[in-house]
Amino acid sequence: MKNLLPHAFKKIGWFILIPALFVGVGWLLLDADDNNKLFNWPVFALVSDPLFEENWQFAHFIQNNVLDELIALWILAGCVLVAFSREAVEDEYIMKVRLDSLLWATYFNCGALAFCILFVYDMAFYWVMIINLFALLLFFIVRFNWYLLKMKRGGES
Amino acid sequence: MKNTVKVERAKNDFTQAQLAEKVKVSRQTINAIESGDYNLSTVLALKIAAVFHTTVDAIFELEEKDW
Repeated sequence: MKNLLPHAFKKIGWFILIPALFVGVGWLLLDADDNNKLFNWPVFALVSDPLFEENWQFAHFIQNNVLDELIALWILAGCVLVAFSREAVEDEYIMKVRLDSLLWATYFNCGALAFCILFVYDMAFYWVMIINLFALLLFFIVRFNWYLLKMKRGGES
Repeated sequence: MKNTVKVERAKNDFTQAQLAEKVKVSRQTINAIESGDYNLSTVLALKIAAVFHTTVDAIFELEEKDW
């Protein structure tokens, strides 16, 4: 498939994704956002308040702690590079495994989300929403790479 | 779909890796074809037949469950 990134990007993606996940989990656990003044920057916001509230504004500058945005973009970049870089030999069977894995990850993500909607409430659900930003790509990465590993172990008979 | 890729490979003294290199796929793909886990494309079937100097029909055969 032509719409994949070069194979070399996969290794770079792992170097970005693994530390990003540790930092992301740390950020969730420590709730470091409010404690860090270093990342309090003016940012351009298309929307920042709930729609159609009183004094609702479109496209304006606000002061915001951007640590969570930076971590989210860091994780997203790692996920995209790992998920959508070519394999060393990207043939028709690998492409089938890739598409099967994407479908599987989508179903699994929907199932996990439905479970959380039913059984997770209040602020804990905020965590679910944060994790779900990346869950589809992470499920895909795990399933696809696990399958590749299984294929590589399938020896010559 | 049944196939005799493994037999043809043995006749021609090719390893999976050698056949994979000739038809420009991964060794895992040849392994999946031989074990019946993957129904390959027409292009790849034609390439494999060409490498073994035979026809696609001679290597690949439909089974009842394919209908």
